[in-house]
Amino acid sequence: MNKKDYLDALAKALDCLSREKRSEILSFYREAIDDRIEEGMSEEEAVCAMGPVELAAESILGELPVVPRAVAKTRRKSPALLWVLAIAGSPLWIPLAFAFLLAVASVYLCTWLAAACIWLVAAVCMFALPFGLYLAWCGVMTGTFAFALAQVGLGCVLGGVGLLVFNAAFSASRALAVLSQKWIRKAVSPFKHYEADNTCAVAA
Amino acid sequence: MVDAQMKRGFLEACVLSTLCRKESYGYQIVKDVPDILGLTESTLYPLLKRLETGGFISVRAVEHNGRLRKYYRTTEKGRGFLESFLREKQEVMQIYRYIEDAAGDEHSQRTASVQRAYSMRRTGLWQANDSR
Repeated sequence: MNKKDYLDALAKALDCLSREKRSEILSFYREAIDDRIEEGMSEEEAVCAMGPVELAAESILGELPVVPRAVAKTRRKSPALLWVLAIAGSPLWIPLAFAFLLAVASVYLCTWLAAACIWLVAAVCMFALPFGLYLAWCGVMTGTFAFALAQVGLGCVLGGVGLLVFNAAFSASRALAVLSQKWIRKAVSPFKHYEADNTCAVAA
Repeated sequence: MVDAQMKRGFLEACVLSTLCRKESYGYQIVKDVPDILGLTESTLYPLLKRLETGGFISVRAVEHNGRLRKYYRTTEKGRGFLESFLREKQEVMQIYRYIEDAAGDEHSQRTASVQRAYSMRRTGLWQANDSR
């Protein structure tokens, strides 16, 4: 088998992948064959060193996420079979997909509801300061100075607590943002691999 | 022949350490990695993609003899992975020593029981000969 035949066979075996992905893979194998030819091997020897096309295709498809891998392998066996399974299995996979989306959305929503609750508590506590000052002014107007003093004190205390809770809400929001991002990546992982974020040291 | 599961971990570490010394390309990596791991392009491509996706290696294309050749290099994250891999060496050696000792004990016990059975049989034969 020569280089062109090998690459054509590999392209056909990887027909289920996108054109961009296929082109990248073929470029890798083309480079590997050319490097061996440059070293002195004949084209046939270089192609032989690549191993069987089926093995190369299997190892490449084996790295795909679960769902694209199953779809690709079924499509390799028979595109018609894929359509038959998709249509015949739709009463099963459509409700499952819907339930999955609902579960993902629910967790995402609950995560941000927790953050919203903390922000609400911070806002209420901070609002206590101007409200306390207003009540203190009312107390001064009615001559109840002890009441006015108590309201000023209470407003200041709650305002201070509000500042602390505001700080906690900010930190919690950042943590929840990271958590929700991880959750979304986890949820999408059966369908797609994510590239590593260079700013975040997360092991693959 | 190295077990498939162990092989995968060793291959990643070997490729990363090869790319630590200097940047390299596909065929050169296949030549540099120990033969015992049986690295070929079929296993190398998915491995490089996995490492690149994980941020353990970086890639750049360089013109070489009128064509483009991709060069790979280990990143800081990749070096961190190698450091933690090497830190596990003592624990792995401990497990190997345990297995050697345990397998060695069983082997010694089997040998001793075979020798006992043989000597008992010989004793039985001698006694039978003496009684004649």
